[in-house]
Amino acid sequence: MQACFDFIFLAVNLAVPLVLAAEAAMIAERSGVICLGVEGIMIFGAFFAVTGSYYTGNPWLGVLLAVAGGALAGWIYGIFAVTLKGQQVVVGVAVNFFAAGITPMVTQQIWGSEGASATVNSIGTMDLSKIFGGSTGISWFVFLTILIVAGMWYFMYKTKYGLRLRMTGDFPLGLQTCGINTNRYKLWAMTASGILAAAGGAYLSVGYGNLFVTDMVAGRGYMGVAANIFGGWTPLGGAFAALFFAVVQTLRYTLTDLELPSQLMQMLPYLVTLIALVLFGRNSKSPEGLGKL
Amino acid sequence: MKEKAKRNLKKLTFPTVTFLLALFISGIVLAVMGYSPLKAYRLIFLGTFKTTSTMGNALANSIPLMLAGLAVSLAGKAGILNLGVEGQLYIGGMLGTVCALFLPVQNRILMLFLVLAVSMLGGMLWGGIVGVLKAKFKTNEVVVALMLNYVAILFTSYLAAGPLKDPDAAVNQTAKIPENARFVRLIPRTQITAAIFIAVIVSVLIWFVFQYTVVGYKLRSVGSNAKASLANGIQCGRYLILSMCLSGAVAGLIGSTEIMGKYYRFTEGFSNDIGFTGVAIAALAGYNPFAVVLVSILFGILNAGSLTLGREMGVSSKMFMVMQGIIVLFVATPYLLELFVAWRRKKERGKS
Repeated sequence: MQACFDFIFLAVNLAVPLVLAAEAAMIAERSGVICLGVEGIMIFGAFFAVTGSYYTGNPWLGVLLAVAGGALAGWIYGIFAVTLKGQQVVVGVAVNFFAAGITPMVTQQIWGSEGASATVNSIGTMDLSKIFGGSTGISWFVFLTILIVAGMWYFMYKTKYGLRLRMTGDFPLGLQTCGINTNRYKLWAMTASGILAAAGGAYLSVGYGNLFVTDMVAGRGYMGVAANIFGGWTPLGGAFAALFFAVVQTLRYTLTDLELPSQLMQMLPYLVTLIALVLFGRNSKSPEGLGKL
Repeated sequence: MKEKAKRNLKKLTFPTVTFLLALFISGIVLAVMGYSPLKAYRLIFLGTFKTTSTMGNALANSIPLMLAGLAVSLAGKAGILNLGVEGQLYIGGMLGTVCALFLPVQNRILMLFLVLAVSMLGGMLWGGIVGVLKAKFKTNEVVVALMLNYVAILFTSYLAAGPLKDPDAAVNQTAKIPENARFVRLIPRTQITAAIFIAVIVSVLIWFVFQYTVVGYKLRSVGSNAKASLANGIQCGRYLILSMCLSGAVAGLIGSTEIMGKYYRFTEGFSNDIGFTGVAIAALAGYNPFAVVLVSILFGILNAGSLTLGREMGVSSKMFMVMQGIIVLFVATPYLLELFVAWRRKKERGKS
């Protein structure tokens, strides 16, 4: 029973960045922009969060800085991908390169080492050991993430702007004939995507951990993109797909009894993502106007 | 003839301006971090031409980059962005190493040939997966390739840490490959080996195939307009898979040539993002195989120079990656340059 609770808590904690990445990919791609830069913006988010927490001592201010930085990064990304009509796939790759290069450089400037920052105050977890025993708690971010997913669903399906955003991705011409500036919707979507991705990165650095490490995002952004496809480009579908990937990641920590080599266990989530993409990616329908301007 | 020269000059303008712009912005990044960009660029470019050995090492650095750029442009011509070069080169390198370690072949030529062939085969299989999934299941090739990268890197590092580990080494690496599977260094005190000929031959081959053969024509056609090609009876799926297989084979060569020429063994994480640099090179070269050779020499200089910067000025070697990011960003948005040109014209017209 104890092991069961521990497993669930760990899975939920590991799901947070993946869910946020999936939502980030979802909102951008529903607006019609192919969004592969989620990974890079998560790296920025993780970095800004640690910087904020380091200088103010308050991890929540770090998250705030990450969100602001993520919004800016997402907006600039949008300018290049939408306003300047860049090739969206390549622009996304460029964002990831740039983020993976610049953050260790600045880390070295601030903390003197390229690989990792100093440890900073972390948001930490809600202690549930009194009720469930064991040592695992649930991160405060989990509740935030659930709220975000619910909010995204409400926004996409119950508001006027959500409807327009979906239309922007499916049939922009229709909206344009109504006199609505679709590029503005795409830019807003990219900004929102930046905020969500950066929040996911911030969780990795100050939410669950307490420092910035160079390769800490480790493909989670791309996994989020895959989860979004797997979940059929919907807020709830993407969240559940991300949760599924998180369960696979959790196996890596809990199946240590099997004594499989660590590299093979680390391989598991990437393999499962791949298999999920192949099996279910075909059935899910992408926005009609994805990648078109 | 004059027309053609003019057109070629125009083709050169865009990448040159892009590169200079990227250097300029990287300079701003350096300046913001408190380094002198002028001193940095002088170190990079003049430092390279100081001695034969620095020049040789810059050139040696550019060999794997050349192959990576060629691999990416091969797939790019058929319309696929191959971000999986990194994984393909690890698989190729590992298979090549295994082949060199365990095959009881005495003949040197045969051995070299076998190792190269096996590594190409490995890269080909790994790249082929991306092509097959894209063609048959319409999965996003970028996500698939990146996931496969992680799988390849982790799996080869498992092999290097477990079954194939050199018991005397502290690092995860295999034993050294036998003497007859190594390349000879062409110039003493540098790492230039026969691999450079391989890279040049590959680039000529790619140029030939795309320029003069039916297969090359069909590949280009699939890349430029898949729907029209389909309407003309070209089986797009088949050519997508073919282009990824070929691209993977070239990527596999990187792994074996690096090991046969530089390290003589498979070490965990030896590549250092060569595959991703290939994307930047191919993008700047506009997928032209000869341009790839030139651009990768330039990148080899930058790469070697960024190490010098680290030693002399304490600039992180990640600067190279930042530069690549900026270059790729500008190559992806040609509209930016058009806007600039239009703006200049308007200004000039305003003056007159």
